[in-house]
Amino acid sequence: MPEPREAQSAAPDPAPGEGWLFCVRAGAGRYGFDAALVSEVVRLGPLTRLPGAPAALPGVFTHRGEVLAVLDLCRVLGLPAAPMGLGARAAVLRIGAWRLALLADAVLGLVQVPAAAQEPAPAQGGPAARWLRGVGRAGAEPVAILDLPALVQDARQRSFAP
Amino acid sequence: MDQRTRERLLPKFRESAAERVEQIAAGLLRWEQGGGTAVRDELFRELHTLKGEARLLGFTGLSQVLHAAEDLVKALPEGAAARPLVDALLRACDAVPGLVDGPPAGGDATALLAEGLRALAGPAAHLPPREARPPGGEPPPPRAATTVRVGVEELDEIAALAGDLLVDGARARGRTRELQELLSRWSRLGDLALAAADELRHRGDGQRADRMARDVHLLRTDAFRFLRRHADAVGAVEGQFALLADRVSQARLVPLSTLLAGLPRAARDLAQEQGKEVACAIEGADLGVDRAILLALGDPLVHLLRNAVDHGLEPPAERIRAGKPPAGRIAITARLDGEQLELTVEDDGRGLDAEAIRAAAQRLGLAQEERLRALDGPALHDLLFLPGFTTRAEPGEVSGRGVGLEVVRRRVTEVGGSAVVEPAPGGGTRFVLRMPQSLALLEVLLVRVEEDVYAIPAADVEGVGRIDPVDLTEVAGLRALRQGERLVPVAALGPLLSLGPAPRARRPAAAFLRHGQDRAAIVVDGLAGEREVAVKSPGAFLAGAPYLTGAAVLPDGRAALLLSTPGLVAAARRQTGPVPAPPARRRLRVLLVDDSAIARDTQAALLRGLGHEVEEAVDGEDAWRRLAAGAFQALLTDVQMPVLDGIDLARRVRGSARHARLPVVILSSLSAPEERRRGLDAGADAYLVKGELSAEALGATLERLCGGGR
Amino acid sequence: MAERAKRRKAAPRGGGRGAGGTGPILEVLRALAEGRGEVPRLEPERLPSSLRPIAAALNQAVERVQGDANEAGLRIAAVSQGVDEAIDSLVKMMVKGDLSGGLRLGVSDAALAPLIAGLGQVMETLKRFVLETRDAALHLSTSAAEVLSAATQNESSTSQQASAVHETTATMEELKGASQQIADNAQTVAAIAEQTLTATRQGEGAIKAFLEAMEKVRHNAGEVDQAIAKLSRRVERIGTVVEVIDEIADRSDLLALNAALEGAKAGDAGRGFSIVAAEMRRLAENVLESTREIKNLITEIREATQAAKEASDGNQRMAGEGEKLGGAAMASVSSILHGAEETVSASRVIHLATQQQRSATEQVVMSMGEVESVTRQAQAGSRQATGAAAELSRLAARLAELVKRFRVE
Repeated sequence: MPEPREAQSAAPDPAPGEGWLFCVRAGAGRYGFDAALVSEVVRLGPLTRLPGAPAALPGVFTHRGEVLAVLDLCRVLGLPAAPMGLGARAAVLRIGAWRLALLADAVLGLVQVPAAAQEPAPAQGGPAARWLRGVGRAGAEPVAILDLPALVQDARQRSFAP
Repeated sequence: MDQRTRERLLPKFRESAAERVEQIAAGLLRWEQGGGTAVRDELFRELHTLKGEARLLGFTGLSQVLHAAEDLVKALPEGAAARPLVDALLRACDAVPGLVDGPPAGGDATALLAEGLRALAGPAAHLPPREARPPGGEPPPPRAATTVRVGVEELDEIAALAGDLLVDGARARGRTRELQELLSRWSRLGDLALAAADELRHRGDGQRADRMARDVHLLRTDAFRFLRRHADAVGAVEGQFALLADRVSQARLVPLSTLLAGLPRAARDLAQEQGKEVACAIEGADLGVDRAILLALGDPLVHLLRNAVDHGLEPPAERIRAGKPPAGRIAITARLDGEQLELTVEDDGRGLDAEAIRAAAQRLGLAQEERLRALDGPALHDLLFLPGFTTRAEPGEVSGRGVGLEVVRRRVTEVGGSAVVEPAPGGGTRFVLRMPQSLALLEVLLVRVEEDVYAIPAADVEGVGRIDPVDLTEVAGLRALRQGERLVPVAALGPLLSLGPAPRARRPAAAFLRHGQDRAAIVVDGLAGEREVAVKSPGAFLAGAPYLTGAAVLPDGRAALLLSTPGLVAAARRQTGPVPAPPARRRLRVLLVDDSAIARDTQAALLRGLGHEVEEAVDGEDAWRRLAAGAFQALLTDVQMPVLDGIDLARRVRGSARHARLPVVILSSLSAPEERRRGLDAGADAYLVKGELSAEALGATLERLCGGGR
Repeated sequence: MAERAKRRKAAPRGGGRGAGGTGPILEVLRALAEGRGEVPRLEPERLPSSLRPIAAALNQAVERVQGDANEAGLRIAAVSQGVDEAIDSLVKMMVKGDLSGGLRLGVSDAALAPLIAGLGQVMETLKRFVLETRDAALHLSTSAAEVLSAATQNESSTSQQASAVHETTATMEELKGASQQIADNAQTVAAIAEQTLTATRQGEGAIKAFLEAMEKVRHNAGEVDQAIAKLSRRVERIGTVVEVIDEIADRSDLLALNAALEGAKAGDAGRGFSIVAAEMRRLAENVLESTREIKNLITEIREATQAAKEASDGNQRMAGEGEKLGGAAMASVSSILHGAEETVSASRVIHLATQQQRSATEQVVMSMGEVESVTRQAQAGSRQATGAAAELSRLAARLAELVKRFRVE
């Protein structure tokens, strides 16, 4: 089965999707990642829990006949779990052959951050530091730009360690 | 034909050419075993059609080769005399895919091939054709006209949609019930309105009362008429949806022949390499199976075939001594047993040697001697499927590396099947693989853990019931259920899947599962019925998630996760069953090198789980320093690392006098053959792929390299 | 013996003064005769021998007399001591008033026996006397108290009677005046009752109007109630509609978000698209904000209608109460009417009766004057009786007090 190992090993593109970032809120922070990874935003359906899965993977739900695992960004970042009510929105991600839904406290939308407004990641960047690619200045609040494929890969590896 | 049309048709042609070549190769083998004129006709037809298509798309070189092949087929003699010609034709078949990918005109190689075939045909080629076919005629129309090629992904999508429609149909029926409820409420209101109308009439407003009563009656009648029509329609639609889902899932089934057709040829090649003779018979190749099943079956079947040729069949001389025909016989049979597909691979070779199995198991440290003595029959044969099992002291060229049978079982259980080995009636060996024919529509038992619903293939459920504490017994600290003579381990699904506590009910509901010889009673919070569901793949992201083999959408829109019976049964036995005596392993001091902390953690945990002592290094240079400072019995290293990578580390270790004999295992996420070669060239003793790493495989490798049981 | 011996030694000195011989004998005889206590002894050696037997016999006699006299003296002294003691003891007992014990004497002499017996009898008699006196004093005290109380009662009742008579007389005087007044007042009452009658008749009309008004209020309140119920149903429906709008807005937002994603994927070509999508998201957010506002309003309306419903319920309840009160008022007005009518006729009768009463009262006043003077005399008599009874009572108390001083048992 083709796995997106390439996504991790290949050098990350510094300005993907022409600078469009998909932004979510997790805890007090605004996090953004390459919008090209998001195929759509959907409402979270009722979840069925995954056997033996960690809290970051609260379960699966069906969307248009497809079974999607939900990855809770908040839990990955060590924050309290994101709300999973009926109105909750999840971003359907396509990372290589992986299809999954990303859940956060709120979906904020798209932000275009030109390369000039992007700064390198600070030396210590909190729980997201491992996947932090930079900080974008857009609007009043900075956006922590994540290397989402790496984050998802790590989360998956942590969940289903061989 | 214009270039655009050709471009469009080319991929389809390549696909169909590969298929036809396979058919031709299979036909040739049948001919060799005395196939008769029907086989020759089929060979003709396929060659002819292929030639026509090649010509249409301008593959002149190929069409010449095929033309020569046609002539040669005409000249094929009966029986063993055909062998050299069949060899040549098979070689030509092998060349076809390359020619299809190459330039249309072909080139010198093509011409050479055609010439070779023509030479073999000799004078026979000049015989006039037996029937009056138009020379280089049109491709025979019937197949082309009635079949359309559809991409498998598209078909999968259609199947998924059909499954969803089925679910929607069930939902519509639910809504009809709701509608009925609503209308009955209207009807009750109508009664009130009629009473009010009566009141009006008494008050003297007869006209209004009459109008009101009439309207109410009319509305009621119309509403019920509509409801009936609607319910009928919904029922019909639901039936049609079911039919559609069924048809589509039928359409999704790929004939087994696509997989089986190549096997006789492979068996022949393998046997030839080893100086053995084999006749491979296929039965039931026209059965359709799910594509996912077909994919899962590919490797296991090849492994089993190799195993049969390599281990099962004796060399011709030995066979003759034993009074058997010199050519070994391998029968691959597929048949349907209800919804289950049963595949057997049977040979008439030397059969299963209990003593050899015991000896090998002991040598490999898989079990202790007295335990082995006690093992017999199926339990003993089952050892063959243990990771790292081989009866050969030296790995053979073809099989015997001790990964084949483990992979066979793993692949088959992954799609919810089982694999067993047993002695064949004639004295040979028989492998029986059972699995669902189709994953798309599956009869499942739905069980509940708290509010979540999980599915278990109904074929694996022997029954459901409640567990009475009276019937429970405790044997050596494990809970088991007395079932007649048997003791069946009992485990609650919630804790088993780390989802929640065991149900508190005094007599909880349970499903009695059976996988092969193993049984388990799985206690659940509730049983939600049995039904046919459209099973979806869990997707690549969830591949490898424990217990998970698929998912289905329930009428309420929730997902029911399909659990793997072997996984559940094994876990239940693990949780409650007797712990098998761990193989006596030597405690090793291992140096683990990986720049990823997560990977290091995982692998270190595995190693420690195996009882080894682990020291960690973050890159090659760090590892080198540690090697100099301490004594290690094994080195496990990642490949891609900063400063000094794994390949260079392996080279450096091999190049040093002190560590030249240190076992080096490369652990990489790269699985390509050239990567393996690079690793082994650098001096590594083993190359393991991280994605496929299991405790068993790792343990077996380390034992092989460092010696176990000493 | 020692005294006797002394006396014996002293005797020769006394005897020594006699001259002749008979002198001392004479002296002795004289002393005997005089009954002196100290009778000298004769010293026979100094006397002539003739005299010596006489002297010896005399001495013997003296000795004997002296001895007897001494004995008698001793006896007398003992008896008198016994008597003294008895008397002393008796006196002490009397002084103490303790007659409980008997007499106990340190001397026992047969001569005293009759005295002691006598004294014992005296004591017994005294005891009996004291006991009887005590009983009598007790009876007396009781009777005196009874007399006093009777007298006092008599006095007080007499004085009450006197004051009653006095008061009666005064009252009768007043009654005489009052009767006149009553007669006058009865006339006024009659007039007022007439006025009341007219006023009440007017009030009856007013209450009828009030009852009608209340009925109307109640009816209106019911209508208001229905209107409020209708309103709240409408508001609920608005709520449902707003939910739908909310849902649509949320979906639009989601759609716009996905449209923006598509736009972003389309690169430059999608830029315009993205702008439109962003616009649409803003719109959806505006709608969501508005619906939030509407929801707040609905909540307010819901609260307000609830309050209105409560108020209207209150009105209805009050109207019901008003009607009830009005009904009660109506009932009392009719009874007032009835009463007033009766009052008018009654006051007329009263007027007549009081006229007759006045003359009768005058006669009573006259006879009461006589009764009063008699009573006054009786009062003075009884006062004197009371004084005497009080004196008697006082004396009885004193007596009892005195008697109490004797302890008999």
